[in-house]
Amino acid sequence: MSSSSVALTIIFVIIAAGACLGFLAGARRKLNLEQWTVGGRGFGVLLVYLLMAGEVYTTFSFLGASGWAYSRGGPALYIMAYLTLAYVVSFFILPPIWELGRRHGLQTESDFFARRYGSNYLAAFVSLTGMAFLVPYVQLQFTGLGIIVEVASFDGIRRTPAMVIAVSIVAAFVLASGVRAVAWVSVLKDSLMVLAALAIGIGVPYAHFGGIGKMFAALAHTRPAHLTMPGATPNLGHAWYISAVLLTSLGFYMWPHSFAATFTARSGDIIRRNAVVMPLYTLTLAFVFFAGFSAVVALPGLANGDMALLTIVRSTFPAWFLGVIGGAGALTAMVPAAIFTLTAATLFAKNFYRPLFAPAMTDDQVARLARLMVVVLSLIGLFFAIYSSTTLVSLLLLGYAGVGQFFPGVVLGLYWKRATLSGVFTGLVAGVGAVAVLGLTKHDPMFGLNAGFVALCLNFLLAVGVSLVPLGRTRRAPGG
Amino acid sequence: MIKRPSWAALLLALIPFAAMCFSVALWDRVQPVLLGLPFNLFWLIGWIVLTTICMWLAYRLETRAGGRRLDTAGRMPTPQAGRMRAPQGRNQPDDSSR
Repeated sequence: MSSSSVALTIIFVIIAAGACLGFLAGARRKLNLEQWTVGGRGFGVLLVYLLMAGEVYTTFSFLGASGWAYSRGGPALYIMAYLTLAYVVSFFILPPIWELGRRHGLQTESDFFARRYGSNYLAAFVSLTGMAFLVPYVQLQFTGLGIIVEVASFDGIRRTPAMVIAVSIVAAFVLASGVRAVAWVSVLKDSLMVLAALAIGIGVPYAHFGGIGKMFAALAHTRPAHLTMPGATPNLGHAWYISAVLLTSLGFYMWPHSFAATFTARSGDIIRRNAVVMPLYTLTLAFVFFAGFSAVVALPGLANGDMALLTIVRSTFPAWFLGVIGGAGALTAMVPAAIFTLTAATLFAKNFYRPLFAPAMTDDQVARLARLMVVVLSLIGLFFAIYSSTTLVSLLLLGYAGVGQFFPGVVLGLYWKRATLSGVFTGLVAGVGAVAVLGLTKHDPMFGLNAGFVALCLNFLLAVGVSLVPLGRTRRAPGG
Repeated sequence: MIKRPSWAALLLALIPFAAMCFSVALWDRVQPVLLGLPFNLFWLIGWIVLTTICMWLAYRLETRAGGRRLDTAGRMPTPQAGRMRAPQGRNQPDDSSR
């Protein structure tokens, strides 16, 4: 067998094992809307941990993080800081969100907005925004999958057909088994991913330099500025780092899928304990960085930084090992892609379409519409993955700029009684508008700050300011 | 109706933010190299571990404070007792799995 067929066979076996596990997990349960979206609210520490970890470690942390370590250098460190600090934030906002979810039967982030601010229009806007900004995150996963197959087949299989196959598998297992499948496939995916990261992070520097310390010494010698900020970029300095870390760590649990994962837990304490332990998981990322930094010296001049990790694995290890890494990477793209499409589809059917256009729909009809949307959203993600060439990290930063705008509405809604519908709605629309304008006019970063962070500040000011203006009847002070 | 976190827990949470985010200008350099790692990477890895310790302390504080408040004021009702209808009205949680 040639190297490429060995690697591709192993990748295929790993994907098939993951898919079987997914179908089995969902096979023996009646799938109503509540089971499909929040697993019947019966997940314990382990499943919640797996589901949340399954969402966090995506193609982004695998190929994207090493890609930025390769192409940008120092600024990539923001990823380690924000993933750790996101859990610190979650410690304070998730338990009360879980509590409200339990009390009022909430299933989605938009349900929270509808309940707290008493407006289906706000909830519908949150749904559309969440859906829109999940698209780049889905696209990121599909692009990653394409890269994996392309590198593993030694450029024998083109990216596009590989992505089409992967997208069909993802959609099939979301349709068949819902959120429980995703949590169980995460077990396989995460064990493979951690092993792969350790093997790469230690093996690559040893093979090329004789050790991690020697690798950094060589890098500091050949590219002295690469390891600190702004690294290989003109404008990603310390101000950008602080603003990007703040935006992304505050925005982390504003992703509709992460928010909804909270509701799968059996108790609020499970979520708190999760927040204490999860930062340690970020340590895996250091090893992914080691591989990216090794490639700077060992494989300079790659046109696409996101291919650095797999290319250096290919030139360091035998083909079967490339297959294992590729398989781990493929699951790492497919599991999150499944969660994202499931969440976005539920948001569309339950919080946008039904309340605004078809209030008479039953839960079963909503579930059917959501399934149809899974297919539509997968196709949209696929379309962008085929026709766009943004780096993986830039795609994620775009997503964060959008969903981060939910933060004021959530945190003020939880902890500030005077937050009003008009205040939060104004802030949110202005924030999302600012993200769109700054993004489309290429003003990111702006004054050396992350554009999403600038929009978030505007959003916060307006939300608080307008809430304080007395508007008579439009003011609401409900809360669950 | 939401229990506010204690100031002590919030202060504990601020420590990792100060260390990993706001103080970046102080530690973003290559020298001194520790355990073969550039200083900025070493600093962040160290703080990932220290963050867990901070949050563990916050967890101890919060669960103790929460337990006391629960007993005296009874402000946190059991989930079942406090449940109400969902916003669209048709989504009763499914109890079959519990």
